[in-house]
Amino acid sequence: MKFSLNWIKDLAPITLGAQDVADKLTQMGIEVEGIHRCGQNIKGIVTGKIQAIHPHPNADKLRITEFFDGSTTHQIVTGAQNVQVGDIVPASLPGAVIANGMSIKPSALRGVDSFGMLCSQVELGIAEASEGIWILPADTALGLDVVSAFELQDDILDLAILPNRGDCQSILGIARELSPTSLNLDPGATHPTPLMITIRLTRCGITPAKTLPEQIAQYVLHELGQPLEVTLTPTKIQLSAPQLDPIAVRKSKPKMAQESLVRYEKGIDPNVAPVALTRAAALIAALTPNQSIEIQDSAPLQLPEKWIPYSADAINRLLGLSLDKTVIDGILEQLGFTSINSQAKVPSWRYYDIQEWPCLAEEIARIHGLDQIPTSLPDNALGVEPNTALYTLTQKLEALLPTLGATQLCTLPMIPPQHLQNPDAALIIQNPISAEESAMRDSLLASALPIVSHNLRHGASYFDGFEIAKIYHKSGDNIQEETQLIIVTTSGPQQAPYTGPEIAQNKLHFSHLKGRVETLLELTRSIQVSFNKSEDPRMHPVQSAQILSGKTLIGTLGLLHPQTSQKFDIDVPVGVIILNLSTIVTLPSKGLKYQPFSKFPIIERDIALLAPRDLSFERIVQTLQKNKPKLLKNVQLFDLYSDDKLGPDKKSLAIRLQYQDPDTTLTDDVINATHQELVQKLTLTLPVSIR
Amino acid sequence: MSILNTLDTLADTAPPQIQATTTLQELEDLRVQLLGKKGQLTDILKGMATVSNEERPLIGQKANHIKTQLQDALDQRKTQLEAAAWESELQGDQTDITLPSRRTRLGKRHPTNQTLQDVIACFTRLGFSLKEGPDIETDYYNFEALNIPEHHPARAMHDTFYLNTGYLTTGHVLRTHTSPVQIHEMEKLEPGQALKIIVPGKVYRCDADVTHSPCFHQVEGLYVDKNVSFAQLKGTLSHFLKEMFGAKRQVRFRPSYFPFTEPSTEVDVACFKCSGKGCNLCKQTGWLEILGAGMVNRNVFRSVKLDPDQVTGFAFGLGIERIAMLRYEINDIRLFTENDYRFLEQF
Repeated sequence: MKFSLNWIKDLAPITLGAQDVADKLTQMGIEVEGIHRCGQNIKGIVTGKIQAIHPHPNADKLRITEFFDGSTTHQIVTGAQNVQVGDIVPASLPGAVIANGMSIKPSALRGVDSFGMLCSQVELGIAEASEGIWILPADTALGLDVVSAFELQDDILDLAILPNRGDCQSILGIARELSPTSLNLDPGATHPTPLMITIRLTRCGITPAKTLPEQIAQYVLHELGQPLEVTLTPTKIQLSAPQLDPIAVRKSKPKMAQESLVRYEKGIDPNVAPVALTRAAALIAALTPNQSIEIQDSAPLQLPEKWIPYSADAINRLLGLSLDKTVIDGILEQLGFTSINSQAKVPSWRYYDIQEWPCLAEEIARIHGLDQIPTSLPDNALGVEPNTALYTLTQKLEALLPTLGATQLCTLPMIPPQHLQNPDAALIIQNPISAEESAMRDSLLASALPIVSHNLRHGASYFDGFEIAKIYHKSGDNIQEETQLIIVTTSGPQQAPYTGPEIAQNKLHFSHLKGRVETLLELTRSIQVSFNKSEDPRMHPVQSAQILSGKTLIGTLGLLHPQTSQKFDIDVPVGVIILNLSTIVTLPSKGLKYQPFSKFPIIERDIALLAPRDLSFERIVQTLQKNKPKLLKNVQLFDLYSDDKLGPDKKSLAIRLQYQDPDTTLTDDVINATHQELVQKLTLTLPVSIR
Repeated sequence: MSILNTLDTLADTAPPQIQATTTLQELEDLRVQLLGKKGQLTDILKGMATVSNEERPLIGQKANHIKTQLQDALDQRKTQLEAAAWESELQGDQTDITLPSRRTRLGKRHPTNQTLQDVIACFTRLGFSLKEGPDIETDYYNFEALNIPEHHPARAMHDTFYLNTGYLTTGHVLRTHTSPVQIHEMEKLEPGQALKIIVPGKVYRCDADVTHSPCFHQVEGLYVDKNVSFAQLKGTLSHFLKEMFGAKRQVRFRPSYFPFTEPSTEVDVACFKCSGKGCNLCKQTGWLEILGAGMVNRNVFRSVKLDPDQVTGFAFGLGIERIAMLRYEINDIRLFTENDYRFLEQF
């Protein structure tokens, strides 16, 4: 909201400059969004009459005017089309300076001499835009110094008035903040001219109404904060100042000018209506002398006196101050409160805002000065509870993932509805900014894949990103929010910066993704997981899996189905890992316990197996472990291949078995016997043969 | 020639021989030749049988001295030859040390998250515990319980997204601030219990341009106890701001208004770019607005069934993207959610 400093000075005896006023208001809690200094250097603008207009010989859009300033006639070329012979307009003559700082000199426009410039409100610094030269009222004197006569120099303060301070939505309110004890409220004391009314209104961002009485109502509204209703009849002007209950206005939102509505909503001083009516009537009487005015009484709001009990001690404790009660009472009195026996009567203009004693504490704080309040730290220095498990896990993952090469993403949780996995359970925004952001995501994939696509289309040679964020869906009568981790990657574990003899080509494969999952789950050591075939249609039919802990599904991993990638304009293989962190933190945790380790040597034996291609490695390991659980320490795959010589449905696996006894050194005899037995069992149990 | 003379000759001739060896094998051969069981020294000492009793100890002494001397010289040469052997072997591993490195590619933390973590770290060290709450809220938690009843003008400050939840009866909104978590956590409080929490999270406003994102991050803080004061709020926030923006950074508290706090304040720090002189970053004011705060409004305590005469508290909230934008001089908030690698890899 915009406030003219000249106008404020009509009501309060202020000598401060605009910057000092702004600083003072800021410290008192009124935010200054800007100071606009109007007409700082402006000079040499005079009024005059257009006596004649001639066409320009060389330009259709220019005209030559004869401007008479009461003593001399000046030839001025103008591009404006709205001036007519007989109009009184302002002009800047040679030597003048206009609002933007430009000096006016005699010049030639397309070959015709021009001694000055006819001015619009923009050149005079009154408005930010205008539709032509400012045509002044026909009774305006000629040769007037426009700068002083029309108050061209003013400072406009743009203030943010917060919802609780309805009382500050007027010149009066700001004047009262600045000078609470010496306000000039005599309506007859200052009489703006009609021109000044329009100038001040325009400067304060208000478009002047058509008729003068309506402009006066606008003027009084801005000055005192009370909306007035003006009814013009052929014989008289009817004025009324309706008083409305703010709560009722907020609920019913009656049709009225926005300037009136915002004031009614925040509450208007119930005592200001009669003042506003008197002020408007006096102005109308002075400026339109032949009109009769009829003031219509509106029902006044019946508001009981409002007394707030308070104690200086409570206020001091809340603020951390130790002010004397007389200081506190003094501040309250200065602000218009009446203080008797630790009860403060609220002044009418703060009626809706002051509710309880902390409101008084707020007044004390802002008038005494927030910078006067000392600083200390809470008595209760310790945390009351530990952080949540989910946050602790999230933090660890966020620290680990970048060291594995993944870059953290931060995506919008809103997605296009066509990317929902399960539209029936989806949460849809009623008033979205766009359809593209109208559904709450039910999968992180829908947010991440557009990012992969964007980066690959913008020159990234690979993508490796992760995000820990929520997904949202309905579940029965509840809304479910689950925190998940997603990793989307197009590269193997490490991208080589350049190839050389020792860098093998590294193609993205399921095993890389599985490795990442295992690395991440080491952070939650107590969780044992297994991998099951995935049924997710978005994923690769073969190179994908569900991650289970016991029977609980905790995630998915694998390559994306190319058809899914294509929907997002991605034409390279994309690896995806999704872990449901909300589920993981609810899994029972055994806690870490030290296990004594065997001090005896490990003996290794290798076997080469020929196996059907569809026999899983897991079955081989399980068979081995089931038969020799005590001595078999570890099973390592160290070579895997298949080729035509082996046969189309065969594969060869080289496996290293590690044996160790917890209590003794194994002898060759024992090992050989154990190993032989184990291999035999393996070949008997599974369709494999030793190569 | 007497034995003594022979020993002297050995002492003179052997060291240059030792020095002249060029390989470890040559040196070993020489050692055997000089000091071995069938070596020169042993040979010389075979003549001991013929010398007088007076001479014997002298010869013995001298022989021992020479043996030590030669052994030292052999050892020294061995060290030299070993070093030379390594040197010549390692010289074969020539490499261009200016070639590009082969390194583990490090991923980056998102700038929003980095800023968020910095804020959280400071408050957790001050003893605030981390709590989180739902993004999807009812009107009650997002507004009413926070002293923002229906039709309150303060609702105009929140451009709210409403959710179409179908058959669910209560109306839901995307939370417009993290403050509802205050209510959830205070509802769990036992009488007399203190609460000191920090709440990070996503918040939503129906607004999108260069400085507004429909979804951004806030951090909320709440301290509820007996006798919490505005002075403690000032102390806590000043500490935080100085840690975040430098110990010498000027901090300013301005009175403000929030429905859920009273008194309320907005807190500014001196502009990092111009240090208070006025520039485009601070819109010529010299100050950057960083957070909003205040003493918990008594109506908020009432809505969670706490007795406002028994407890007081302070609360504060700050926008993370805003701080990240100021910190890194990022001029478009949409860069955060675009997630372009060329942006992310700078952090």
